Amino acid sequence: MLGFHEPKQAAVPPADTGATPPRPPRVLLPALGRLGVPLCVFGAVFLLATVLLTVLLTPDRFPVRLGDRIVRIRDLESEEKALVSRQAELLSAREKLGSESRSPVLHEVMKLKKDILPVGPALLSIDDVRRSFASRDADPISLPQVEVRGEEGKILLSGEARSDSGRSIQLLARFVDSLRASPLFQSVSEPEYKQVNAPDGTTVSPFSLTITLKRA
Amino acid sequence: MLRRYSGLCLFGLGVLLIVLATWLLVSHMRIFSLKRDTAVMIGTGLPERRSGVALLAANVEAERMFQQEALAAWEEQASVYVLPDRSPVPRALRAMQETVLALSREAGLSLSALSITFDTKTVDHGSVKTLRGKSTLRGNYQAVARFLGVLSFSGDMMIKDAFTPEAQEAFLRQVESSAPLSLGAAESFLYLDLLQYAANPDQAEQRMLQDMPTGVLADTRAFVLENGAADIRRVFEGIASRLRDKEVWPFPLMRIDHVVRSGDQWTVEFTLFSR
Repeated sequence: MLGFHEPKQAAVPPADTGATPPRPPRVLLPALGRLGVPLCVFGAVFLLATVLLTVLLTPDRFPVRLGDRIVRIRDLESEEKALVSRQAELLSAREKLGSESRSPVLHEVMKLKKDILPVGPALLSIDDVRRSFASRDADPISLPQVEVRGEEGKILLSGEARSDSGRSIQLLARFVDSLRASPLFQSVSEPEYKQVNAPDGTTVSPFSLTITLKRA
Repeated sequence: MLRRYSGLCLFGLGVLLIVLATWLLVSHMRIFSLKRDTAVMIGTGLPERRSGVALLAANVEAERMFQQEALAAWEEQASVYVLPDRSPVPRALRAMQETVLALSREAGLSLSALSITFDTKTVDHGSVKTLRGKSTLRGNYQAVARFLGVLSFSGDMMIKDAFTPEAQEAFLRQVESSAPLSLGAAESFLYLDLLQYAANPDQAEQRMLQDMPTGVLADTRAFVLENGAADIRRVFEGIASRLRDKEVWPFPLMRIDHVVRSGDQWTVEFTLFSR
């Protein structure tokens, strides 16, 4: 039950009449009831004032301090918006400058070039790797057979690695690893590692490799 | 009874209105604070964005001016030499012969052309026509690789042609962020004649790098070299001036189809393109 007993009334003992004792009067609910109107009015005014405050005092109207100048947030935002749209305009203008309609032949050349594999640079790269193993006295890796299959994007190499310290297999393995490090090649096949003794006392590892060129 | 309950209802409504108003006030304050933070953020980045846009505008204008003159010239060269509407054979023949001579005489490589032949009929593919050819060369690996390296640049006229579109974009973006004032020089570098660069690469790179801060010089140069310039330097080393003097550049566009080495003899099959 809601409500409190008044202390004075609570102290008086009920008369022994044999009837049911009277229920103590409730004060909180009537009090809240009486407060209803003013509270509702206050709430409405408060809400109205808050709504007005929200509508009238928008953050955009207020200035912020940036370094040595004070700028309104709204001005800052609109300046940024204008810059972003100007940037987009300029980028699209730049794109149009290189458009196909202005240089159809150059665009056709560019399109065709995309499908042409860099055979020359690939062969030069293989030669770079081969020569990195050469010294003043010896050129241990030879490539007497070369075949380029442009359509397949493959280079087939046959040759031999020669070592006077009996390590032609290690030499061949390092040659293959170095080829694999080239950014022009997609893959380099694993050769068959074998070693034969040559009459001049050196060891020779003949090999065949298939290099697949990377397409753009 | 009804009056009592209406009082309570009004009390509840009052509480509800107060709660609503307080929530509105708190959210408004939060928006205020958020907006303020955003404004400070915008304000901090604004000078940079402003100068970036001004720089972009200047570059687009410069590009527009450049393209009005240069692009038309490149387009004309491409339509006459690279993808001609007549037979590309005479120019291809001269270009290959001059390359062999330049490599053997200027670069001191052991290379000679034994024969160069062409099919009699072109194949029509719609927008382009192709003609197959075959060349027999005598030379060592290095010489023939250099020769094929030169042919790989056929169709290229500017430095940018040796770069992939992605590398061009990345290069300009890198310069824009590290040395925005040199963006114009970087763009001019990309549009520089390929053979002019090959004849004097250090000077061309120096011109592009001269106004850049010292801290970014090495990185920018390394980027340019890694993405195509090193190949141009290497392939045309010692022969660029001769090719320029003999006026054989740009080469007609060609594709290497098949190469076979048999001892010192090499057979190179290729395809020429025309319109």
